[in-house]
Amino acid sequence: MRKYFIFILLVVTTIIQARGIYQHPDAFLDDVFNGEIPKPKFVWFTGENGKKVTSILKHKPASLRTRYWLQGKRSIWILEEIGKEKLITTGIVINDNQIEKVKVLIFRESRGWEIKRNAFTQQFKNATLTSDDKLSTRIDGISGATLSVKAVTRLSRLALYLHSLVVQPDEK
Amino acid sequence: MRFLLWWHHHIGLTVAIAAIHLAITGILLNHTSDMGLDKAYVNNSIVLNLYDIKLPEQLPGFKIENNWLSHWNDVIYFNEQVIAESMHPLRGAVITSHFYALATSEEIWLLTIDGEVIEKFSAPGEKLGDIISVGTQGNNVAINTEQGVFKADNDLIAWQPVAPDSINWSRQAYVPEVLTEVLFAEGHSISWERLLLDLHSGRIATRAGTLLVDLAGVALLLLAITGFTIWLKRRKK
Repeated sequence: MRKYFIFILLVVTTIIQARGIYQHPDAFLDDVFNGEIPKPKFVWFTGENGKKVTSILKHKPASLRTRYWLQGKRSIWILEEIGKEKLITTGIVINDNQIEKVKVLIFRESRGWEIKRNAFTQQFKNATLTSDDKLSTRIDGISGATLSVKAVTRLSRLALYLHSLVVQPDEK
Repeated sequence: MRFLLWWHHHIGLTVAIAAIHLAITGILLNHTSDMGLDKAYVNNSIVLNLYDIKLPEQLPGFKIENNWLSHWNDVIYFNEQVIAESMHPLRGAVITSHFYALATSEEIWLLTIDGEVIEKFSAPGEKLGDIISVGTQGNNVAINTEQGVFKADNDLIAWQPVAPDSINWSRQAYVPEVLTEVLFAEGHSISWERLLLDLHSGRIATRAGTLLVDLAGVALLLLAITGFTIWLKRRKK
């Protein structure tokens, strides 16, 4: 009986964990900057930038610009991409052209929530952008979450590319 | 043996239609992306009625210049054009000299006058609470939240408290019937993939449907067990 109860509890907990706001974007920024969030800036997806962003995402970006937060060589990006049907909101910290942290903030899909696990997001740590705009690190997929994995991977490549645009060469 | 055969035959006959239904919907579900069924939407009113999706008598929206911004079935429309998806209620839309601003209870969109999304960002909900309404003070966007009324700077980065009576609030109106009918006809609500999934699981017929599919599953299990047992007994003979 006890084992049955634990099993039911595990199933219910898993379902509850699946969809929802894991961390509000404001709280993520608070965490990263220890409460002292710098004023955000904007990067526009126009001209050559727009073409590059379209090539990384494999579709036209959903907006004409995005905001980012810059502190020294660190930039923080709150980006969204569709996994299968719904948007996945992801917070990405880039430090000195390397990924410092990837965190899934809001997950709206019914499947593929496993990407929020640290074991998955840790794989992105220290990844850089290669000359052909791929990640330098191989990211292992998750069975049943292929589209979500691809979405977060695209966002990580995008964040690295955008970082290279906004951090001046002498700051690198 | 005769007892087993009787049950095997009768279960088989009873569950045959359910097995065909599950097999067809199951195979189709495996190929929804290849067939584009995840991006195609059902427009049949009988099917939509099963989901309690009905054309509202009057669809609320917000009019800016000659454009209507509305929210129906988790989709935000700029006239007939889909601009975003949101599960949060639309709170208002305003115009400044640079852009249109549109707010749900938790998100803000900035749009060009052609309805192209300039930027989407989370409303400062963590600190200020959900947005109740949106307006302008001069050329600046203002929001009424659970924590009071706040005015944004030109880039909508910083929010400062402001007196509520100085705000020109966005007023809800009703979308013209002609446009409402177009939005309903275009669907963007229930995809064929969703319909197939609900047919496969039985959810289309609510709880009774899922129970029926569960029973069919149990019957198929029994069919396999009785079939295997009969084969084993015959083999021994």
